[in-house]
Amino acid sequence: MRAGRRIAPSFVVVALVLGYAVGTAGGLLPDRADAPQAPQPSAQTATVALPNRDGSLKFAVLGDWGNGSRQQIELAGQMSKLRERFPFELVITVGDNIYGSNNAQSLRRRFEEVYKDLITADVKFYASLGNHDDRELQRRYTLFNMDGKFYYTFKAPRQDVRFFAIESSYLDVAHIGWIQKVLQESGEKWKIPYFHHPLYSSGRRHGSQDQIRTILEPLFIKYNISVAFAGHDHFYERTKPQNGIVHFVVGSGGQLRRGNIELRSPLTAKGFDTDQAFLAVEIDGDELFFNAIARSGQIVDSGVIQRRQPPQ
Amino acid sequence: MTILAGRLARQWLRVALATVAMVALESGSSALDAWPVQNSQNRDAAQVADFQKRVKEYADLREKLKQTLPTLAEQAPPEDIQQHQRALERLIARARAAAKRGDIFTQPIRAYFRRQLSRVFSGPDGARSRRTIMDENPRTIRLRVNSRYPDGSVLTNMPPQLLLLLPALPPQLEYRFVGEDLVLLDLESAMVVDYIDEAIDS
Repeated sequence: MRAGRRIAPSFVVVALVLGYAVGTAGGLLPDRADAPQAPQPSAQTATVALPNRDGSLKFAVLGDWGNGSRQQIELAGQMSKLRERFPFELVITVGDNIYGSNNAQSLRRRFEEVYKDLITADVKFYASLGNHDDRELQRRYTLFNMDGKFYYTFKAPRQDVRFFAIESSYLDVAHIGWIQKVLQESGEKWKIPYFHHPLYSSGRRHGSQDQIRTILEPLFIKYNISVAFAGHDHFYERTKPQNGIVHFVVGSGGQLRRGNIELRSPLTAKGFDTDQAFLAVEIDGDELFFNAIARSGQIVDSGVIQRRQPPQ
Repeated sequence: MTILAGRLARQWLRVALATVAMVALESGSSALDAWPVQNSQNRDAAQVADFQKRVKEYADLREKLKQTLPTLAEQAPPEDIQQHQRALERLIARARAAAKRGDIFTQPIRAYFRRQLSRVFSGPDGARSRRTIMDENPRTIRLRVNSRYPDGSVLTNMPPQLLLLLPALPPQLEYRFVGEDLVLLDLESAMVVDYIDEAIDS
C-alpha cells in the first residue's frame, strides 16, 4: 500500500487540488523569481578530502546502476575500496536500480553479487524508485529497506540528519501531502530528499524536470533543504546553488551517456560524463563534504557545503 | 506567512468564492439553473462519481481475492514476492474473465477524462506535459484488459499537474500512459484494469 495514501489530505493539498481545478494551473506555487532567497551554500572548487571524522555520518549515493555490466562491477569495486578507509554505513539509491527484467535472479546478479562486499559489511541500501524499476518487487525487497512503501523517510544512524525517499514519477495528492507533512514535522537540521527525476540537470537526453520542480522546489525552499540527490540523466553533475539548494545528479552508477552534459549549461558547477561514478558524502555538524569518485578511482569532484540556516 | 502559504490562501479564497457562486446558482433563478456551465459541472460530477464507484468495486473485489492468499512475510525473498504477485494476478484474471475495455472507462467517463486531459495538454503547460509523458514512453506495449504490464517495461513519468486534476484513486491503483493511451494499472498485480485509447490528441 502506498505509504502516504493513508494520510488525510492536509489543507494545503486540498487547496492545491481545488486551486488547480478552478483553472489556475501553474500559478499555485511560487515561481523561481518569487522564491525567497535563502543563504547560498558554499561549494569549493579545489579538491577537498573527506575528513573521515569520528561520529560523522558517512554515506554513498548511487543511481542508474543495475545493468550487470563490467563497468558497474568495477565501480562497485571502487566503493568497496573506499569503504576500507572511509567506513560509510549506508547507500542511498536514486532509482533505476535494476534494468531489464526485474526478478529474483536479476536482483541477485545485478545487486547482491555486485555489492557483496558492502552487503556483507552490513552497509544498508535505502532505495528510491526510478522509471525502470519493478515497484512491487523492489519496495518489498528486504535489502532495499523500503519497508513495503513507494516513498518513505528515515533518520540517519548518526548526526542530525533525516532522509526522504520520494517517488518522483508519481506525485499525486497523497504523495505531495505526505512530503509536506514529513518535511514540516522533521526537526532534524539536515533534511535530505532523494529521488529519480532531477529538478535541475544539464542533460541533453532528459534535462531538468520542471513540472516536478514546480511542486517540490517551493517545499524544499520552505523547509530549508540544502542539498537534493537525483539521477535519470546518466552522468554526474553538481549544479550551482538553485534558490539556495545544491542539486546532485548521480545517474552514473552503471549506465552512462557519454558526452551528454550540455557544455554551455548555466546550471553546472561541475559535470562528469566520460565514465561511471558514485558520490561519497560525509556530514559533520553543519558541513557536508562530498567526493565524486569515478570507476578509475579518480576524484572528479569534491567540496564542502554549509547547511543553509533557517530564515530568522 | 511564506509566499507559498500566501498564494495558497489566495487560491483557497478563489475556491471559496467559486463555491459560494455555485451555491448561489443552485438556489437561484430558473434562468440561472439552465446555465450551460452549471449543467456541465453536474454532468462532470456524475461521471466522476460513477468512475469512483466502478473503481471501488474493482478495489473491493481484488482485496477480497487477496485475502484468500497466504500473507506475504515481511522478510519474504524475491521469489515469494513474485509468486504472490502472480497468484494475485491469476485470481483477478479468473474473477474478471469477462472484463473488457470500457467496463470502468465507460463512454461518458472517457469523454470526461478526455476533456480533463485536454485542459492540460491543450493548455499553457501542454507542451511540457507532453514532453514529460513522452520521455521514455513504452509506446510499443500492446494493451489488453486483464493482461500483465510487461516485465522490464519502463513506466511513464506522470505530470503532477495532471494527477492533481484527475479523480483520486484507491491505493491499489494508479494512472500511467502507454503512448497516448491512459491506463489504469493495478499496482500489486501489475495488471491492466482498463484503458482509454488515444486519450490525448497526438
